[in-house]
Amino acid sequence: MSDSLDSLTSEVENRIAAAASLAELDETEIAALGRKGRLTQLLRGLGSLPPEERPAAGNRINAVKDRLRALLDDRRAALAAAQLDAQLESERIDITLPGRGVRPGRVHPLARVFEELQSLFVGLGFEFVDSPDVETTYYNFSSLNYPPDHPAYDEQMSFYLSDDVLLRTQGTAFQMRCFRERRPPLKLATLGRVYRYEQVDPSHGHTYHNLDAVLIDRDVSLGDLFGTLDTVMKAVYGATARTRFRPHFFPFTEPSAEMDLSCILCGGKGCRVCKYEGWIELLGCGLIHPNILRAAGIDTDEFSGYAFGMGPDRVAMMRQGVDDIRLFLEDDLRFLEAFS
Amino acid sequence: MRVALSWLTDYVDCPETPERIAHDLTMSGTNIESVTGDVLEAEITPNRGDCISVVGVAREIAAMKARALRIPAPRLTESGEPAAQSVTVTLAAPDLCPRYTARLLRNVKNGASPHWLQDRLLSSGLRPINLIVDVTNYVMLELGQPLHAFDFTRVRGGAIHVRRATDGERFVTLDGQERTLDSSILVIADGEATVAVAGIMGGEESGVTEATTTVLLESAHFDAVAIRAGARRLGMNTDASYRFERGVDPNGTVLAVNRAAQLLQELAGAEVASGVVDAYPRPIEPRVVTYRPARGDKLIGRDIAWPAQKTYLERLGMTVADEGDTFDVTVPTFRPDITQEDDVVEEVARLSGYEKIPYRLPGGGFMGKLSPMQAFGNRVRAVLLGCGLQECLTHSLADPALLMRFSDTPPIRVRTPLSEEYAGLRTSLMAMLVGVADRNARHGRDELRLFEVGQVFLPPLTDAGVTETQKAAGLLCGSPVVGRWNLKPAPLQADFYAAKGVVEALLDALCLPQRRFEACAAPGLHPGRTARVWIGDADAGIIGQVHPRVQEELGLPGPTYLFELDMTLLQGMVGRPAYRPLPRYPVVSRDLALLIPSEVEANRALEILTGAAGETFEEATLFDVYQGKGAPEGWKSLAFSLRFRSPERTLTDAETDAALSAIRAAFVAKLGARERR
Repeated sequence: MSDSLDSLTSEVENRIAAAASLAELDETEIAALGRKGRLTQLLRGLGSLPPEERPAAGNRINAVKDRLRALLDDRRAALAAAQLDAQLESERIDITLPGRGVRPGRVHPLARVFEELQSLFVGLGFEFVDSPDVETTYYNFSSLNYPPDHPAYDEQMSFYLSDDVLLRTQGTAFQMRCFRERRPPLKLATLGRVYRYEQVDPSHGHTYHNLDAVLIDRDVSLGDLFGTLDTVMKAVYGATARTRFRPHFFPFTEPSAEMDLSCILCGGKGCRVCKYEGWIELLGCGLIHPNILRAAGIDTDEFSGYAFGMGPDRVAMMRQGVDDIRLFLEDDLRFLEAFS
Repeated sequence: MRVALSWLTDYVDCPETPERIAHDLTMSGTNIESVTGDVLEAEITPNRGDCISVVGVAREIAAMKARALRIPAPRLTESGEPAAQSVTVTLAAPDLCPRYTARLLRNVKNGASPHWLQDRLLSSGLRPINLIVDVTNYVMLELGQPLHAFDFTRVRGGAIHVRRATDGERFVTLDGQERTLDSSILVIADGEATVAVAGIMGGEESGVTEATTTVLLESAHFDAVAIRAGARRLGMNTDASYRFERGVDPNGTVLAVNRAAQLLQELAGAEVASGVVDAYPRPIEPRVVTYRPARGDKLIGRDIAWPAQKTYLERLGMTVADEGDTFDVTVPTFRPDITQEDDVVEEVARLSGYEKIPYRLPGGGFMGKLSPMQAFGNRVRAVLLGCGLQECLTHSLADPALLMRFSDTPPIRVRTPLSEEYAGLRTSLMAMLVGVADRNARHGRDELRLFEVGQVFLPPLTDAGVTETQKAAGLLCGSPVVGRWNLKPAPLQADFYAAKGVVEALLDALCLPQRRFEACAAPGLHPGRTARVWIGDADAGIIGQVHPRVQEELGLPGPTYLFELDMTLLQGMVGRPAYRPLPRYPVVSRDLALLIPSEVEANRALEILTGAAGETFEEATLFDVYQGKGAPEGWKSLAFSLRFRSPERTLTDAETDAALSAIRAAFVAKLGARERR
């Protein structure tokens, strides 16, 4: 009997190992372990053995059954895995086809600069305030120490709506609005549109943007102004950016300065963009004119202040290499999508 | 202004190269824009009229470099009858002409100027004409004082009247143009008529010619404001008016006239009549400004030795009385820009060097933040970007005709527009986005999802301005789906509900659930596909399809849907998210399909449902709307998925069945509805 059990075992083992499908495996199982299977028959044949041999023979047969069952399970799992592999292989797709869905919108290239400047100035402690685009000549000029006959009032240079109301020509117009409502110390900024009556060309739009900032506190100096602007420029144009300041004139600042930025293209060595000077004339700034502070009821012996204005459009143009300012407000999708 | 270095060195030593001195001038406030050979092109700021001359620039170099300034000191020989016997000057408008200085020259041999003089004029961009005219121009360039030369034989009665022109007076200027004058314009008249427009241009009749032998040299001081107004009125801008507008030294007239007389004596053999004719009833005195050097230190941000500060000011021609903590600074009359202490601070700052000021980042004490509207705007932008809309920034100025397609209110117009395209202040962002769609359609863009957050400008226009309101608008056209290579036709084509979905997403994000949509009519929009958005009693905006006629007229690429919301309003209403604790008992879900009359809006059905569903009703989701085959004519089927839940216990089937029965009964009672099988 042991001979026949051994040969049966090895035969079944071979068939399990050779089974190429789950169905074949099922057949093998039934043939060996099923109700009429050969091992089952052997178990049933135990009755013909002498009683003292039956337990040992039974144990041997059951052990073989357990082993075959384990082999069957393993083989079944292996075959199932292979079958799944084959099925998945048949489901292979072209993963290079485009992805699908609704894409988020794109931020306008100027708005991206606005966002960046907003967080930069908030980080420096400036509180942003809103100020209207439609201004009076008082806030736009007179309150900023422009003498009444100043050519800036000229109808030919601005968009007037009536004798005394115009589209503001500079962000600085926000100053007296704030100074009348708040008391120093003040650290304020505004970001908005300005308008000039100008025939448009690649470097002149009739509508562009200004970020204007003021600080009024005790002992505010030109050094504070220059240091703040240098920090801003390094944040905007990178740590290698350098600044220099030259005396200049604005009605609303005294002393006044113009800030040059080391050419961002050549780093100051001189190129076509900076006209071989190494510097780009970028913005105007200065200490707030004492006439303005006095008109706002601020004691000029206790407080002094700085003011500067910069052009976000210029930032976007210089950093992205955009050579036509008119593109920004035309919303040509080819342009808006060109920032990727 | 152009100035040659070789000319400058007549007045100040300047061993530097032109490039070097150009840089140094630029850094001390006289911006040199370019250098051509030894000629510097200087940008003179409007406050520095004193620098519009070779001596003025030389003075800057002398001050900056601590060098001696050699101002011309003309020596001349007077002869013949005193000028005062031939010339009388009357100042009829002393406010506009505080001083009129003149010299009479006889037996002048006019002709061509010597080469050196011609060269200097040319290097400054002036054309040589004849010796007399050239000398007046030369002295103007040199000293900044504009001069005028009259042929004295044409000055009738030898009389000079400085007065306002009469209204409508006609006068032919040197350039041969006939001008119409008025009383705002100052003129020089002789015994009979106008002979020159003061400070702007002389007259054709009284001007010098090659044949002129007797010359009256005018060296006057005119009010800057009057000259600017007159030049603007006449549309003229001359070398003289340019200088007078920016301020000329009232006490420099004698030097200038003597300098010209000396040159004409040397070069043209002129006999200079004795005496200077000088009408100057109220001499203009130098101003004294009190300056505290400690304030200079404080505002500059650097301690500069006080004696050094004093020296800087003296180099600029000021006299300084040192009173210890304060300086009494006497400012020469060629610097009318220096009127108060901080003007002096700037002089000290620029002569001591802006580049020496140490950078400092002022300390804290301030909390930075965005304006409430900026912060709100950024929040709105983030939602609209997330909804897949491209951000646009359109012009504030627009074509009124485009704006009027979507509004009944005419926009405020600018008085002198650049063109009709930019003539009106935008009253709606929707119209602006339609313009964007229109322009982009021209190069084949037919699927668009756009938005803009920005302000509109609403009438009335008052003395204080206009009403500026912040808006958020969107435009949808075509499908938003990318990568639709196996989806045909393109899914999610824009329609009213797509636009409404964006609006709902935005209002959800702003925690504004209490909204209503009400069918309405509006200019430029489809009469059956437009809704007003209400939040409480407030009109928060509009959603609608562009009227097909407008769509066709504008050539839009397809059906186009718009929305516009009032951000100024929404910002005041925006809520905070409220937390509801997680439910402890299970939900019971039931579906309910109802046939209701076609004309009943879904909202009405939802109202009936909510009203009848009882307190265990939690939520209803509309999952099907059907009308057509299978539904009776005039009826539509609405299918809702309903959720019931109690916060206190698990609901029984019987309770939920009762709620459903109540809902059905309400629909039958109010709409005659039937449940769909």
